Amino acid sequence: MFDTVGIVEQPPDTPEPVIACCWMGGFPLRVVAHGQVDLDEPVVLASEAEAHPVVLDCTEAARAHGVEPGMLVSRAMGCCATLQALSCDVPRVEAAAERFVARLEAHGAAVQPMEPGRAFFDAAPLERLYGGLPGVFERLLGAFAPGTVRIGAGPNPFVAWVATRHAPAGGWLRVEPGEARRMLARMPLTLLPAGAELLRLLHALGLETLGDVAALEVHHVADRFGANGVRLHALARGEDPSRLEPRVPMEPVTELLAFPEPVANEQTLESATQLLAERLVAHPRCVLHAPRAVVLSCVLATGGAFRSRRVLRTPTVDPRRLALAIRPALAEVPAAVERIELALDGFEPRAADQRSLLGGRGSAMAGGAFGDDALSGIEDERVQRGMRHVQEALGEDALLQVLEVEPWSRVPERHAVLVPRRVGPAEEGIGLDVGRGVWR
Amino acid sequence: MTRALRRLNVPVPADVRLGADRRPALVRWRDRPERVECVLDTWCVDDAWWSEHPVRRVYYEVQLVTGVRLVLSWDVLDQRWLAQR
Repeated sequence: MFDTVGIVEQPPDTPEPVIACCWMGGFPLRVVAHGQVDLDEPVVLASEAEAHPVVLDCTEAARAHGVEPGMLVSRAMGCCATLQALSCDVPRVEAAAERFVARLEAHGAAVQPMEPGRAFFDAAPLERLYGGLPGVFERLLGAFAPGTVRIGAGPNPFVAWVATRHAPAGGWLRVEPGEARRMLARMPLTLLPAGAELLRLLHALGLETLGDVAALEVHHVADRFGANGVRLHALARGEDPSRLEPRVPMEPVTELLAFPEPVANEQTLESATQLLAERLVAHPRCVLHAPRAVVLSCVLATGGAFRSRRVLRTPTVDPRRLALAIRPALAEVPAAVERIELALDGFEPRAADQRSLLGGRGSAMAGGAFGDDALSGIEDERVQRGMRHVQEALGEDALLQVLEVEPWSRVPERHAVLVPRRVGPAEEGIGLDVGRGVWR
Repeated sequence: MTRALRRLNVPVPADVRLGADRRPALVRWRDRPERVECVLDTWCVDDAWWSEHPVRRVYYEVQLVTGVRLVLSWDVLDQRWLAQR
């Protein structure tokens, strides 16, 4: 009944992309351990806030004692008497990941971030800027501490990722498009983005390398493994149809407050968030854009951090609503707070933020949420008089207003209805129910 | 005095073409074919089955390349596409 339309963008005369991957191995462990422990020692990174934390990552020294990621920390401790366990500080890792991406962007790369410590970008547009691809890679490697990151490049993201895994620490490796299949042929199957179950099955079938998979007939793979198998078969042949989707870099809108001494009182934290929200909405970006989410980050006196992100129902720059949205998260803060930070996220243009013309404070038309002083200026006697004139001339149903009835409904037409707007008689004057959206 | 409620944002029949992923890829909106940039949300509604006007639809909240956001729905009972803001 409906045609299938394949929509393919064909950019005119664009140069062949050189997809590059920048990777810092063991990123979360490096970030959390920085300045605390020596990574030459047996150290594990443990999942936080769980009754039975597991090992997320570990150093080579820990591996030498038989410790593996995924193992219970209690069991890992049994493997090595000198093992040190660090709790994963998620806000700190996320902040470091943001800095990692920002460093690449500072050199002109359009970056698609992956997990913390790994990002893709197209190196071709930077080639002229830095005098060739080697110049690009050397420049970007120079943005990080020596020997910490690797860069791999290839014709598509999968080849670039495999090249990165084989690049020397602090160096780069480029795979030419014509060499991709030959290079992949010797690589182990574990490089494929497949689940453990599927990898076990492939091993059971006698397949050991990507070359073994690439040698199979594609229709045999499709019969046995379906669409997922066809995708993996294409990757093994060096064909990755996925495209980069670089993010649009935006400077974060954040405000922080450091307390002279740790604060555990919820009311004080509420006042602090209110203050921070008022500072945030003064940011120039809030003039034309409104945030869709607000993020609370607290540095705790006991060590570690607390982070909570609350998504708003409608984007707003009303500081009261922003503070109200984040208030429930304050009750979840587990310890006294040394430093509190509030950030706005997910900005959208404010063009769609349509205000009610006739509603005022507490108006049903305005949903009761936008009853700010800006509206009071137009809610004057002339408007009321005009409304009464319209009703006298055209009838009671000439003036309508939007009334929210089921704003939570998943059926959009049930969200609101149009109802005749009641305007009080002239002798009642302003100040009664006239123009206030009071329904009787 | 009659104070009738009027429905708002009533869905209208729409001409929708699907992409290779079987999701809306092209929609005729205000007499112009508009390309769908991304699907923001999908959900299903099976409601009022006890009444004379049951609702059984598959919804797609989409953003067009022009920035317009639309809610498209496939009406399973009437076998047609609907669009609303």
